[in-house]
Amino acid sequence: MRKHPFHLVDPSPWPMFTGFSTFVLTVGASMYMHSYQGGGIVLSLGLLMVLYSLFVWWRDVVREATFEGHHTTPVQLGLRYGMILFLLTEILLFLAFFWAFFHSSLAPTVEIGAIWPPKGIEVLNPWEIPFLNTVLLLSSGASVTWAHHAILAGNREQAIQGLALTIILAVIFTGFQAYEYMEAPFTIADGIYGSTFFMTTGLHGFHVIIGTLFLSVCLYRLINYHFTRQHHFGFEAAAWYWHMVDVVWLFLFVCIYYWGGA
Amino acid sequence: MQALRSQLARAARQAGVRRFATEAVAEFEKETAHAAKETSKWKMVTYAAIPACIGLTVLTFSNAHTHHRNVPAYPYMDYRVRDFPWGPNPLIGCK
Repeated sequence: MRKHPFHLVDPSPWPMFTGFSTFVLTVGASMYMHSYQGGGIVLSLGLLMVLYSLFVWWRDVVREATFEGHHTTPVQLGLRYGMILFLLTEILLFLAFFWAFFHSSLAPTVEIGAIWPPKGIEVLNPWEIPFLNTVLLLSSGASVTWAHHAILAGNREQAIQGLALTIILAVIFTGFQAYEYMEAPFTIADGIYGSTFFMTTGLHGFHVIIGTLFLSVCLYRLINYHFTRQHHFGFEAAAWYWHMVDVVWLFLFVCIYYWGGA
Repeated sequence: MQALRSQLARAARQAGVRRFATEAVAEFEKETAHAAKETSKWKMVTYAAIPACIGLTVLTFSNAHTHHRNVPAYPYMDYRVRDFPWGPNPLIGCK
C-alpha cells in the first residue's frame, strides 16, 4: 500500500515519442521553408506525429485522473502550479511580439516614412470585425464562467449548455478572423506593419484554435461524466487558458487594431 | 470506573463526529447555494450578450465593404527576396 499522496507515473513511451515527433516536425518545417524536395511530406508527417502524441499522452492522463484515481489533492495542486507557470510562459511569449510591435511603432524609422502605420499601408477599421470579435470573446468568457459555476453547483445540463455555447462563439471568432485575413488590404510581406500584425494576431489565432480544442475535450468529458463538483481541474485549466486568450485579445485590440491603426 | 471512562470517551467521540458532520453538511449546502446563485447570474449575463453579438454581427456585415489593394507605392511594401514555399501568393490579405 502506498503511504504518500503523490503520483509516481508508470513508464510511458510518449515523452520519447513526442520528442521524436517534434524533431520530425522541425526538420520538415525547415525543409519546407527552404523548398527542399519532400519537405511538405516530412512536415505533414511531423504534424501528424505531434497530433498523435498529444492525443495518446493526454488520453493516458485522463485515464490516470478519471479512472485510476491518481490525481489526489496534492497532485491537483501540482497541476495547478504547472498550469500557472505554463500560462506565464505564454504571456511572456506574447510580450516578446508586443515588444517587436512597440519597438517598430513607437519610433518608426525613416525607411517607412517615420510614421505609424507606415506610409502607404491601409489599415483595418477596429470598429468593424475586430470590435465584433472582442464582444464575441467577452461573451464566451461569460459563458465559460456560467459552465464553471454550473459544474460547482452540480448542474450538469447547464454546464453542457454553457460550454457548448462557448465553443460555438470560439468557432465563430475564428471564422470572422479568417474572413478578415482574406480581406486585409495588406499582407505579411508588407514590411514591418504586415509582419507584426500577422505575427501577433496569427499567434493569438492559433491559441484560440488550441483553446477551442481544449474546451471541446472538456465538453466530451463533461458529457461522459468525467467531472465532479470537487474534481474538474481539466475544465478549470481550459477555462484559465481561455481567459488568458481573452485578455491577450483585449491588448491586441487596444494596441494593434485601435492605437496602431490610428 | 474503567468502563465508565471508556463509555464517556466513546460518547465524546461520537458527539465530535456528529458536530463535524453537521458542520460539513452545512458548509456543503452553503457552497451549493452560492454556486447555484452564480450559475443563474452568469446564465443571465450570457443570455444578455448573445443578442448583442447577433446585432453587432448584422450591423458589421451590413456596412462591410471589400478592400481593394492598390499597387504598392513604397519599396518596403510587398517586399520579398523569393517566393513563399507554396508559391508567389501570400495566402492572407488581398493581392
